[in-house]
Amino acid sequence: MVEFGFFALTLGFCLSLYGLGMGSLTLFRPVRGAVLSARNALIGVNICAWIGALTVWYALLTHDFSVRYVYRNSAVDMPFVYLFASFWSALEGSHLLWTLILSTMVSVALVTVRPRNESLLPGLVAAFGLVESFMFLLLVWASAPLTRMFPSGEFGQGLNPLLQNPYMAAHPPSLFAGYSSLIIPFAYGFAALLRGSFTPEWLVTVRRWTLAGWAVLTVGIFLGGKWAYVELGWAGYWAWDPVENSSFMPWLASTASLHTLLILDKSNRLPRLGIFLGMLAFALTFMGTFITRSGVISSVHSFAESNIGPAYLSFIIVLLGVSLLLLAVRGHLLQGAARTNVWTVSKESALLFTNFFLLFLLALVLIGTILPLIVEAIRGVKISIQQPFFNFFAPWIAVGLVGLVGVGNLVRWKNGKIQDPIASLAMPLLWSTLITASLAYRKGLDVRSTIGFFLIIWSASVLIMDLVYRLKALRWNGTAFLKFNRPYFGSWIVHIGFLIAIAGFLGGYRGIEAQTDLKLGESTDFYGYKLTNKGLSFREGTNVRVVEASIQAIDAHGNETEIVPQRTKYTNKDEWLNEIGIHSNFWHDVYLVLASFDTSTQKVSLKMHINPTVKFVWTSLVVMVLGALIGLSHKVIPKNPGANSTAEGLELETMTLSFDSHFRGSDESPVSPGYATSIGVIVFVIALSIFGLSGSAFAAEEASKSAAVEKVAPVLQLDPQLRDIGNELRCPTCQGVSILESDTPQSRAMRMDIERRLANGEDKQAILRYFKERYGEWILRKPDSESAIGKWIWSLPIAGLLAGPVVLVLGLKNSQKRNDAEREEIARQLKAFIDTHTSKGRT
Amino acid sequence: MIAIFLLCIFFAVLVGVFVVGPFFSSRSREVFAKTRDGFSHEGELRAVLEMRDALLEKLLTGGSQVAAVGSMNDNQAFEGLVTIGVRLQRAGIPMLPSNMDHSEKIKVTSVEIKPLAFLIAFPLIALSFLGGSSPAKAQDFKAPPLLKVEGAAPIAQVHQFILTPGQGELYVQYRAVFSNVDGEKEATLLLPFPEGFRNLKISVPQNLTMGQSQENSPVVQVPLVPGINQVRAEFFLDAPFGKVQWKSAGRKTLPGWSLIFMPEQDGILRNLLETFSSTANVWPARIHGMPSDFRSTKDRDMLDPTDPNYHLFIKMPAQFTRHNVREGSETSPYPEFEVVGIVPHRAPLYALAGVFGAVLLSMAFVFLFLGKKMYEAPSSSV
Repeated sequence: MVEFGFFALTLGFCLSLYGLGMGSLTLFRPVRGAVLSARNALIGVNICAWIGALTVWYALLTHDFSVRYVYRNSAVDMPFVYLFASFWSALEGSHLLWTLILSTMVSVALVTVRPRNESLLPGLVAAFGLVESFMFLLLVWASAPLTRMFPSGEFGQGLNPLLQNPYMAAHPPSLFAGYSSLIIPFAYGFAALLRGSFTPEWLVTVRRWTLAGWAVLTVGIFLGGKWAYVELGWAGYWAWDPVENSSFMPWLASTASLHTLLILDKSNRLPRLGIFLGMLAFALTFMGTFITRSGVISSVHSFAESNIGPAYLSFIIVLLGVSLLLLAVRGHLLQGAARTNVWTVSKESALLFTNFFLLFLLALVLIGTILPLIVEAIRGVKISIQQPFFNFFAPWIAVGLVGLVGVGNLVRWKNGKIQDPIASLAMPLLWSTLITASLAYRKGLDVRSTIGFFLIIWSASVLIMDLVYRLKALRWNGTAFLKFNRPYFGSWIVHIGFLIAIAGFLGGYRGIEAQTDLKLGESTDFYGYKLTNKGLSFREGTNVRVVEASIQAIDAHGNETEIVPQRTKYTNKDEWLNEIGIHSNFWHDVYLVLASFDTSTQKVSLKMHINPTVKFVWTSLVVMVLGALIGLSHKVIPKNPGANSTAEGLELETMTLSFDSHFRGSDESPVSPGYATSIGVIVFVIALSIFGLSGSAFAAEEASKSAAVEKVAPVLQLDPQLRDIGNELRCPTCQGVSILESDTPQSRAMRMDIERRLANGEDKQAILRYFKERYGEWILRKPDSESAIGKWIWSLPIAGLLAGPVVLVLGLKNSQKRNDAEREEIARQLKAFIDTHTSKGRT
Repeated sequence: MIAIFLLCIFFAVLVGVFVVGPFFSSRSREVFAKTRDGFSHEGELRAVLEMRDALLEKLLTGGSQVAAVGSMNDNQAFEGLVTIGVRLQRAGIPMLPSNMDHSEKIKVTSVEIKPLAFLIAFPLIALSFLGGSSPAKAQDFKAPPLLKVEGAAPIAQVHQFILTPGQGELYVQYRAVFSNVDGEKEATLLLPFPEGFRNLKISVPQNLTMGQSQENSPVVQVPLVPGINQVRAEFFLDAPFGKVQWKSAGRKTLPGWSLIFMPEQDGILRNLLETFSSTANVWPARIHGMPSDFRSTKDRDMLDPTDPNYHLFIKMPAQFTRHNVREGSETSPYPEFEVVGIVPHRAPLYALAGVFGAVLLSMAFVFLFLGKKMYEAPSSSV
């Protein structure tokens, strides 16, 4: 079976090369037989990938330890679920999984090509063939999962215990599914550029696949965050780790692509940017794999390191090179590229600025991820760019995006009018101000939280007002609304989900951390909870031994719950690992880590965290995915300006202006002019706003009361100064975390050193300088603003953020000037032609 | 293993038929799609050109047969004409009818790619996987002259062979054990290896001298120590198709204790096929045809609940080592048997896939280029 599976993969490589070759040939000689043969070859590739994958699963489930991958990543005592999931636990298997999903997506895309898109098939097949050839080349060469190992192993080395978690079992497939979906927009962009034009259903197809890929990628990223949250024990879900960044970059690019495709759909502008972002998003999917596999950048995900990094890097360069070359050579041929390019205050301008913020963040993340590598290569200086650097810029970008979510959704296309601005804009402003001021006063919100919540509530209110008006215009006919407005409703829900996510992220910096030791039966008070040690228990799983601490938690209202932090020891790793105990409610998580235990006395040491609004983050995922599904469920009627086949059928405005008259009015508010607000509407919106806000506010309120609780057993909270300094120093041995989050001996020693120096009266700058001199600039988690490199790293993004919008506006004006000059020249030639022929006719 | 090979061929043929099937369709020679840079389809280009003509007609004559254009004023018509002009110019099409070649064909093909490059490159790629140095055979074994000992070369009284199946080969570890009762300083020893061994490595003390006996078996001159002495060696037997014959290279007898060990493990497919044939050439490997004077045992009982590792055994595929042991006399025959079920070498699989790919490409190129004139794109005017 193994040999047959290997043969299938080899055959798949041959077939993908055949698809690439025939696809390329049919670009010049598009004969039906050849095109369909190439298409069938790529479907055959998928069959081969399935046979290869099933063979690996068969080998895993039957413990065929003559297969090296099976021996290294599974063991005889593993539960079935993790045995199954060990398929994608290391390099070779995850590459096969990616190839499997990718080739399946390709097959689906090829068999569902609409008749009006068929002229794209040669380009599609060539693009798919190119990517699949690379993937299969690795499967039979450098990353072959079916390589034999002799003599055969016996028990198997087992799966990395950190990966034996349900979220990690689901995270890679969803991430790879998201990555793989993005090949469709890439290939359609590739095909359109080769073809020199769009097809009637190009936009519909690309938008649907981009949205689907975006949704699945969102799920994958969130599942990865959830795994980090419940498994790694540092009480966070996002650390701006290089690999996290690498999955985030295609997400940002595809989000920007979706917004650009909307502009293209509604106003026929930015076709090249739309195509480029789709291609960029796909190329960036290989970035994470390169970083994970190459080992050039340290990451918590580096368990799958190998020597195939250069192959990935080369392929990224090929993809980007091909994309840019095609755009440069053929981009000008695309419809929309030739149109008048006037940008006024309008929805498309709002979308453009949304893209600016998204792409700015993308550039920041990209540079922040690879710059340490470049600096080290060029200047031999090690620097670190970690969480504090990204966290400095992220809030400003979030402010821009949140602001644009509200206003951008409200303004009309083209003219930028806002229907009934008092009701839909000013009123939300008024009650958002009132609600936020009230909460800030009563709950003691700090300035940052106050501004953040104000913006979120206001944007959500504006969105709600927009929805209410649309429903009102349909006489509250929900059925008709859902039938005809699903894309709008889907995007509305996605944007609400985005705001919920931002509200969740906003709570991140207000987390509280403490430690305590509890003897059996002893209690402590922490953040309004009474925590009691009810004792330890032991159980044994199939391949794991578990020590559980039973912690009784009683909240201020007398509600009782049990939190069970655990320590686990797997048969294949001689080390105790953490399994977090979490009590989660809508407003915050009580997050307990069993730091140590004594089985003889049943004494436990706990690390305790209160993480506000974390559930908002997970809830936002459900909301956003729901919105995407609703949007995808809409049967889109294809729109294309060139669909008419006679001059009679071409509308004049289509020809003379922008080819977008078909869509004019589709997004205009259906409300008749006038003061259309009603008390009921306003009350409804206020109620919703209060509901949305209350969670965050509740969390903020609780943050302020922690100091006043009665303590039974002592609770040790970190000195704020130590916390402040420790957060800026990286753990010297682990990756991507500060010395506060790390529990290595070196980090502990550094914390003690800081405490000693604080006690001696040294200030923050002096202590940081001491560590910088001792370890080098690299020990700082953000670039040193006193160094020359650091000054550049800090000043360039700030300048970009401030000057970017100005540059964007100037660039658009310049583009407009070029277009005007071109039109003037053509007008001059036409006029001369007409004058000549008119005078000839007269003579 | 021939079954796996046949399965691969069968699968490749099925896929091949699926891939080349479209070439045999009645519409296979039709031009798949006509495209024009900058326009989504031919109809759109035609419509744009018709609109341009109508606008020009309006501007030149003051009227148009197209009602929508006829009702425009001159400024509107001119603006429309400029927009169309921009689009046509960017698509590389002359914007004025007087310059336009009306016999211009819709762009179908303009570049000829020589198929020979693909035909040459593909087999080369496939063949590149077959690389590797050819193994040294027993016949290639060059040794110094045989060290003359009175009578024949002495041979040890205990021979242990540990057989480990590999990919397309059988790896054998040999150990000879004997006692130096006469206090000799050195001796010439005959190593009773089977026919076809290669890559021999012998682990003995320094001053190794090797030769070859009249029976085609290597002999080695080894220094001796008082008491028990050992000679260890390892070599490979080729099994490109999963089978290897273990037979004498010339020597007729193998006296003394002979121990032949080989690890075995469970395999679902093997278990299934063994119900029909005990000699199925399917992984995992088995020894077949072991002489009857050998006694065969396993190293542990997988179903013994008293074994401390029993809870692991019941979850794992049975893995154990089979011991074949014989206490032979001076006239005991050299054992001959067969090892089947070794994983075959992958070179034939690469070759098969390469040949398959080459066949596919050849068929495609024959279709595309030998029948070129039969499906030349029809001319079209716009």
